[in-house]
Amino acid sequence: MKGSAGVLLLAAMLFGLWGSGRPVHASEISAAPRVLLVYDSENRQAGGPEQIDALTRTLASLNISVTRQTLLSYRAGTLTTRRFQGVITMVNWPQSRVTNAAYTRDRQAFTGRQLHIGQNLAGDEQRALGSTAQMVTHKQFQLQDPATGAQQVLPFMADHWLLLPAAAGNIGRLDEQGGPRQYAFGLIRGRQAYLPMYSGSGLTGLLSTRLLAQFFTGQAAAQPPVLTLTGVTPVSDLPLLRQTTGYLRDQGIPFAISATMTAENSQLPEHAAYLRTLAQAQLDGGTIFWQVPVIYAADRQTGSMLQRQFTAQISQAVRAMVYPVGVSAPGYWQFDTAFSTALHRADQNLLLPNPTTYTLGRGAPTATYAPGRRTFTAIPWRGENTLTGTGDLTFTSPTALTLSVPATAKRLQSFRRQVQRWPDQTWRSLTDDTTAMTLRAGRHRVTFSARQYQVDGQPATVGLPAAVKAAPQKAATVATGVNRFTRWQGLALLIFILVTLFILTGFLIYGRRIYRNQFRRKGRKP
Amino acid sequence: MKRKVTQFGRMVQQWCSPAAFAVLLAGVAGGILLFVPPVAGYADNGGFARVLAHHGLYRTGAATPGYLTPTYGIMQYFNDNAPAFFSSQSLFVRLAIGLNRLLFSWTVFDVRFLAAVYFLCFLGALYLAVQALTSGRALRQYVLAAVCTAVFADSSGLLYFNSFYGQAVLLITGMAAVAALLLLGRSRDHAAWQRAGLVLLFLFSAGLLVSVNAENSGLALSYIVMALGLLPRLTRAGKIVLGGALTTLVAAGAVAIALASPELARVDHYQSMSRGVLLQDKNPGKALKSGGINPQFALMRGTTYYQSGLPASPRESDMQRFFIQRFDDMWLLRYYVSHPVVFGRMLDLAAKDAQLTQVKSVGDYPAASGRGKNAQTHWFTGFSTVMGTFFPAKFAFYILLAAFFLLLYAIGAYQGLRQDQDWLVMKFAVVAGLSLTLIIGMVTAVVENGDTNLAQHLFMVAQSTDWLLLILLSDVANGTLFKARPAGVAK
Repeated sequence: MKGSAGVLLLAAMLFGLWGSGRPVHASEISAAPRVLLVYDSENRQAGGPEQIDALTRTLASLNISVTRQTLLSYRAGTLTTRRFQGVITMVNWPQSRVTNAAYTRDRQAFTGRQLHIGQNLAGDEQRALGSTAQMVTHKQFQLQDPATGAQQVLPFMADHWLLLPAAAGNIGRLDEQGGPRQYAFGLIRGRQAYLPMYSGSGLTGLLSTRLLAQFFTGQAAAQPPVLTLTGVTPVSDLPLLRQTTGYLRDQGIPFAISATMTAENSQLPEHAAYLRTLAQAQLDGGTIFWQVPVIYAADRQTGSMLQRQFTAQISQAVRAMVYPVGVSAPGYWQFDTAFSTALHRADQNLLLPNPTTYTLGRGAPTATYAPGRRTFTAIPWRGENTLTGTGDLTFTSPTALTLSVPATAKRLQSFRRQVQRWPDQTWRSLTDDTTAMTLRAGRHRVTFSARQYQVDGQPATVGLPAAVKAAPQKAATVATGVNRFTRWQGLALLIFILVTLFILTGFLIYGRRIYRNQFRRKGRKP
Repeated sequence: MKRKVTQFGRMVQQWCSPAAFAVLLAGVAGGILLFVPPVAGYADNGGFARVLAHHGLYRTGAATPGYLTPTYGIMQYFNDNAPAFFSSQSLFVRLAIGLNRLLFSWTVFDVRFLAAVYFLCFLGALYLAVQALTSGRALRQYVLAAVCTAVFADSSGLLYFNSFYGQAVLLITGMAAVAALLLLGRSRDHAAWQRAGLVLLFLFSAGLLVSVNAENSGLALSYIVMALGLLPRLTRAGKIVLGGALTTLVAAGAVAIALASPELARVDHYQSMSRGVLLQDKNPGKALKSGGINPQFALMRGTTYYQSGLPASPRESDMQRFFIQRFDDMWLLRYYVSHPVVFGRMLDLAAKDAQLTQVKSVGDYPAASGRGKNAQTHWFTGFSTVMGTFFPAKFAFYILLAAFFLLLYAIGAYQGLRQDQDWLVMKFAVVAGLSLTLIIGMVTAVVENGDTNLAQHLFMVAQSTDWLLLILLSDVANGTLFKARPAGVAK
């Protein structure tokens, strides 16, 4: 008994230590509701990981602190109103019928807000929703948003769908193709809500976010998205990048750039040229987000390496009049302590979809992420092209519609076509932002507020650094005494050995002739 | 006392030839290194995964970087994700797994079985090499045998046996091929079936050597040059057969190139640029631009393919399309030809590493041995240490060395042609092939891989240097530089 109490005490201390190690911003935590996300399976084949990623990023953009767990790893007593204001049950693999009695019990006893996403709606959840669900199979639906008039034809569903009849107050409506029936898409009844499916993009994403905002934060004010250029790296095609930002300036579209940087090879003219192009983008109305590097293998040193890179890159950027005002990272960076520390170095974050070219390795995985002051969730803009009925997309959470920066002239054409496709779209301008947003990199603090950049409290000028000519600089030859000696002795030895070998060869030939002459008969042959 | 020493010497002379003496010596030195705990070998640098997966082996515990892994698991069921892997190394690994199953276990693979397979082949090759370099049983020949052992059985090479690197095969086949040719030169001592056996051994070894991996395929040229020495003594039919065999050799090299894993090819290709061209050029952006590539890629200078923490991943499709696929080997060669200063600097970099044969970037001992991470063995590494310290590290020196050897042995070959002594001609061919290896080896390593992992990529350069020096030593000691040794003495 005594022993177990000791263990508990130790655990409590450790927990306390762990908690104090994370950077916590008082302003953000107090307001942020905490939500538990429980999913049955990742169901990789059906794109489950992408959906979970999109959902967590959206929750972060709504300033909701999320803890994610699989159904099987759920421990009894986790879900309490003291810890969480809400719970999301996400069913990605309905056929699996995974259950966890402890979770079901805790959820039924839970008095906070409950959202169910996907099939296998439990009886008590149905009762709470106040209507009986119908199983629909082999139908195609058109999703309608009566509020904005937007509509989208959903792909044909061979799957079973559990749907509730349309009623007043539902979010989005599903119209059966070639039939009179109408169903509700998102539904909120008191403390219970339901979404038949989840996806981060398209009208489903838009409506899901509206439901999440209404249900968990109680408000769903529409706001325009930020146009964001992604895929900007030091090895991007700079002339095309300049053309792109120039085009957006000419169109009067404010935009943000999520750009990776490098502090290596800073003596090369290409390094200065890149920062100069970013400075130009700033002048064209762009806001720079510092994008995190590509981490293949995370380990104990990753955190300090990130900090080193961040500090070095930001100070080089500031010197070149480039002022990043936020940190952008792939979604999985939320769930690692070292990674999320990197995110919290800025008040403003942009969460991108997870990359697919490498495995998402985390060095210090964690299940909870408490978002910073403002988080944008990224949605590929081209994915919204399937929407009709509206020319102006608004979202209920800070959202970034992304377009990757063109790498060829042909892609620039397609970029322009995409912009022209949405002529009525209004964009959020981060340069008109009145809230002060700060980025902390070592001894540098970059702040942006009221159209003014400040570095370490001093107003900073926005402009173009002088162009660096590709001057063939002489490599500094640091030759210490020993160094010079070894270099010299290598050469000396080379010459010495060669001379010796040649002399020896001469001797060898000469000696051989003498040797042979000993046996040669003198005088005329008989 | 003195008499007893003389008596002992006589006994050794009677019962043990110099070749057997060398094998005994190497057996003890190598045996202790490879089989007596703590066993030593080169640890994984990331290259084992493919070899392991292809042969149905797997790591049983967590990876311990910097330490040697002595045991692996053997997969029990059908291995459905065996990667494509074409290498003559497979022969040895499969044989070792078979032996392991027969003698030790069906589920656990002890890497020492692989070492045993390699080591037995190595001792055979060493026997032939010493046989080829010594003649008779005078005291001097035993000294020569001891030198051969110190050179070939140096731990820097033997450490490859307890690991899955292809260099183990290079070590053995490189020795066997040259030894077989040198022995053939003295074929008046041998019966016809022995001669045929030696020719076969040469062709087989050279074939294995060029098909270990793609980067050694170029060495097929060296071995063809060596084989040209056989021509003077072949009949018409023999010449046709030899021609066919050499064509097969080239084909084996071509197959090794064609079947190289595309992933590895991309890695090498990327690093040939980032750690080659970009590294030494003063203005790399300009070089890229003039070659039709976006100059911004100069900022990837000094990085490796799998490096973590880069601003852009070499694995992304745009990086592949606009950088890695924008240049080929011809691009690199053109660049190096038009930038001789950069090329010279890269080659000097290679020359600096050519004799540093012990791979220092990986550890030599298992974690259980209690030694530190990346601990290096010093057992029987005298020769490699001396070569690494004192051998001139200039590419020009290698050129001059090759020229010197060619000149020296050309004189012998001229004499040989005049006096109808084929052996001298053959020796010239062998020396020419080895000299060619020096140059080809370094140029290929630099063009294909930049400065990455030079100790492993220049393995054949180091071995060819050893061979050249030993052949010269043997000829000087036996007085056979310009004349064939008298028939019958060798026996």
